[in-house]
Amino acid sequence: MKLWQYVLRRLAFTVPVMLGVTLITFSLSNLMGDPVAPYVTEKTTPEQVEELRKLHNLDKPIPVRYFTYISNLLHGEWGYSQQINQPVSEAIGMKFAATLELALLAFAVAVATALPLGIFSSVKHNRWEDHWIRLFALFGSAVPIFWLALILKYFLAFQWGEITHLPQGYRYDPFLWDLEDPIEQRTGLLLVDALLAGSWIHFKDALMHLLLPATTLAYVSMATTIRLMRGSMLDVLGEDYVRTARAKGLPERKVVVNHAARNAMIPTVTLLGLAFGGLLNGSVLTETIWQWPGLGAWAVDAMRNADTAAILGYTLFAGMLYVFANLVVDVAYAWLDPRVELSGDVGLAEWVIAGLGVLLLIVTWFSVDMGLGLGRLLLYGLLLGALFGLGWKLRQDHRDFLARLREYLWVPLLALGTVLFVVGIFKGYSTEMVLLFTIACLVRLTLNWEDFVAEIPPRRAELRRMAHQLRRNPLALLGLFIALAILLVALMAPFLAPLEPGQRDADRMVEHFEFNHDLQPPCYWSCTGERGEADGYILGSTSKGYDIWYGIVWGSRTSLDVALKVVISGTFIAVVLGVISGYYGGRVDEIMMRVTDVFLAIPGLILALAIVAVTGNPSIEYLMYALIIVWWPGFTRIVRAQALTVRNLPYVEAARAAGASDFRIIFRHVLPNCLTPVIIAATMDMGSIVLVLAGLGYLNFGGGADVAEWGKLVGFGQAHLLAGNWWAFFFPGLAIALWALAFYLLGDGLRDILDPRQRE
Amino acid sequence: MLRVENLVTRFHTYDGVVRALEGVSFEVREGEIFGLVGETGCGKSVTTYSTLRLLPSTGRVHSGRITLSGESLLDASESRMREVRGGEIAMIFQDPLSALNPVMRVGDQIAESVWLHDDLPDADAVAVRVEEVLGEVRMPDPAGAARAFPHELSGGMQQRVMIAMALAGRPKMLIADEPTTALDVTIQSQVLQLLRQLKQEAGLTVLLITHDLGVVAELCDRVAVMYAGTIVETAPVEELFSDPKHPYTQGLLAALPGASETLAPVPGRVPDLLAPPSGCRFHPRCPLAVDRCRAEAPELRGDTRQVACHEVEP
Repeated sequence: MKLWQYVLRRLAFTVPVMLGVTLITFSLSNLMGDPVAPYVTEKTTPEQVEELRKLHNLDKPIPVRYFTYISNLLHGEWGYSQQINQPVSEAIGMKFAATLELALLAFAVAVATALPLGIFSSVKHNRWEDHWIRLFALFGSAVPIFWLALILKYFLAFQWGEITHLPQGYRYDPFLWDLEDPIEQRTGLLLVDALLAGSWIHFKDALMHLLLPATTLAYVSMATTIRLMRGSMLDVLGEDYVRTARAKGLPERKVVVNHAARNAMIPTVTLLGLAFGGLLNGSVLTETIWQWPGLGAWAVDAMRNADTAAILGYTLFAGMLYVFANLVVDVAYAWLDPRVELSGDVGLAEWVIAGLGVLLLIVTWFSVDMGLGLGRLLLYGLLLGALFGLGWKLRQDHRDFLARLREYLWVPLLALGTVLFVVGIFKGYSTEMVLLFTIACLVRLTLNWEDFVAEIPPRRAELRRMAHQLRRNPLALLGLFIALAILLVALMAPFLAPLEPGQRDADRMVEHFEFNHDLQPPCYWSCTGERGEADGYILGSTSKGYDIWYGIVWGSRTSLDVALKVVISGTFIAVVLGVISGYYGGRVDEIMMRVTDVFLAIPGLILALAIVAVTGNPSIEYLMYALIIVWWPGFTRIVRAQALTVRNLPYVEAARAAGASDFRIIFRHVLPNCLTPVIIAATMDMGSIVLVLAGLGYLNFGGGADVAEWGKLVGFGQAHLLAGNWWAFFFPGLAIALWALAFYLLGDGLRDILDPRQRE
Repeated sequence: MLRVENLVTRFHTYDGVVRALEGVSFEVREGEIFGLVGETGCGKSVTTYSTLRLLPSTGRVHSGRITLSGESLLDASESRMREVRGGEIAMIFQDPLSALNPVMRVGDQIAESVWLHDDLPDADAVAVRVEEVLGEVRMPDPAGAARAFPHELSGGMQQRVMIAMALAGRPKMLIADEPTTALDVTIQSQVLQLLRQLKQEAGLTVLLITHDLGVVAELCDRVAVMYAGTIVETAPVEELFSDPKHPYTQGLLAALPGASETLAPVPGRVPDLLAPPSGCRFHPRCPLAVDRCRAEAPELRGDTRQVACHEVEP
């Protein structure tokens, strides 16, 4: 198969995914409350309301509205952004170039620096160079991007701005570009335009403006790429062909570059799409801080102003970009690895789905009614087909059909249990749920007490080995130490930062922001000023007099609460779905994977933002729902991939051959062997969930007014940045970074300890 | 030609020091095929990696001497070692598919050896030489094979490519580490035949590492039998099969199907090299063991036939 055919085929397969994404955006638009409400005043007559509803198509049933939506999208009518008084599609077209320029430069910088660093790190495995690069990379994943941007802005562009001549924001110097010497902007990418016009001054100006935002954005992707490259290099360096290359007499440098790195590139490249998604996430925050006139900053404005059309348009567009980036990555992968067969083996079902998706789009493009008809037809056809299939099965083995149904009874029971558990956690019964779970575990333990006791001695050696590994891994120990310290702070919050009504009340975070004008610098050790205890703040205050130390201490509780709840319930959902999907495979797996595809098609932070912005409910509970929705698909995939490998291992086949039931195989053999990657991923996600939470908080979607949250604190703290108020954004951001770093270090360490391949 | 004397190699792992080789000595003479036989994990491969100084980072040669035509390899500089690897001693491995770089064309991988060890003026000359070595290993359509990726070739063809890659540096000696283990039986014999032909045509010295006594009988001139990191017996191949001296060798031959009416396994288990038995490493399984065997490790004695056993004379 030719490469272009392959590209075409992959393009066709993105159609169903994109249709799924439109389903998400469409449901979000329906969550938005009554779209007519903003137009209705006391004077609006019921007739006029009716008129408005008709105008917005609200009098039609939902399927009709969905197909109208699709048809509009296809015809380039993406709605109207009230915020900037412009059609959404036009706004995207205008702002895309700015984001693209920033993202591409950041991506290029990231990849160009990360690959050599990753290679170097792996060559110096477990030596100090390796430790430093690993720390640098982990720190990159752990710093909240908005915090890094603020630090760079404060120190490089503001404090030392005289020396560096770096601008404090925006894309170009308006004086130069708009008035003094306008040059033709043919591509919209300013660097390219300046080059085309042959103007060094313009080029330099654009580059200076790009420098800090691009660095900020690049660091995060760079960090991920370093870690990926280092990991796959370590795998590859142990391969036989590397030994062959050495036995050939090749110098070590050539062995590493020509043989190991080329092969290590392959897994790295497949995950570069992921890095690009991170870039899109980061661009939202970076652009907001640097006032970059791109898509991200526009989307944040739209979210703050509940500009639905713009939010959904942006979400959809981000999804399209991400899907496209992954397409490019797939093609690059096929090109890099000669073993990939372009023709592949694609099931008939996939072809049919892709074909029907394309057909549906074409029909809808011509007429909404026809599209609707076809959609109905497909839906009914699918239902009929499923019923028919079920009936066929019934006819085939009607005798033991009921018996088999009973055998599968645990599946719906398990699903029900999971739902109850997750809902319980979010509805404020988390302690009870955890208690229940612990009791269940204990009961199970006492029932199998003999087995448990029998397993202790062989496990002891294993535990000793783990402890030894941990002791040898200074970075993991550091992570453990920080995590425990933060945990302690959260536990001791009432003692470390006592509630003092009026002065230090959690409820007053926003209130202070509104009224008080009392900027206090940090007084580090001695804070008993002339007016008594409350006069000074150890870490200073925000410009409105809110105690930073207080916010950090109580914010640790919020972070812990959200991270634990999201991780625990996310893990629960993911383990149940992932194990079933991976173990049974086939149709179940197919459906599950397509659903996760759709959710994963939208970069995480953007989806979470869209959900929070559109529901318009700022409470922490809704934040957690948003985080769960963003989190479960990736998690499920990890579990599913593991279950898929375990399922084919000899001991599972042996258990099946011995006549064990599915239930027993899944819970005794598959699940315990899937736990290692789950534990690692869950540990890491304790960090990344807080990062996303802080990102949301920074953009002022950080739970209700009565919640102390680190990201929100950074957002409040940046207010007087240019008056020299650095502490108010610095310390809360440091807390976020330390938190994330702790769990990343711990997760990385756990991977080294639990992964038997790394043993030496 | 290649002399290994009292080689001691150890691996420093978390679980402790693995005493992989404990005083291995043998000599490979010019122009012969020398077999190194033993069970999996007895240290055959470690011996060769020690020779070419390709041990993983945890492994270290503690003592002993390795000389190639009189030159000490353990003292040679790293750049000299690179000349030796592929240029004087080339190596082929067990599983050709994983030993070949999957993303590089076969011709390019062979060309690397040519560039390294052959003074050829330009890329055209290298390409000619690549096709030449592919012809030497009886590759049908050498030009086409050079353009293929490893996974596009069959297992036998892949092993031919490995051998061609080894020959490309015009080495004096070839170390073949279980070259036929991963191959089908019919292809095994083709590869073995090729090795024999190369020995006759190019006067190549071969150190053949295998656990397969059949291969040894078919191909080798002389054999050393390894057990748990030591050499227990060295002999010309016919004598080894007709008159095995060391109890382990006897047990090994008796365990071959067809050697007697019933299969006679060697009793006991291969020792854990983290805590090897004291004295002779074979004594816990040995039918002849006496008190002295527990205390004192026997030395390899004898001239053309060498045996390391207190109870048996060479």
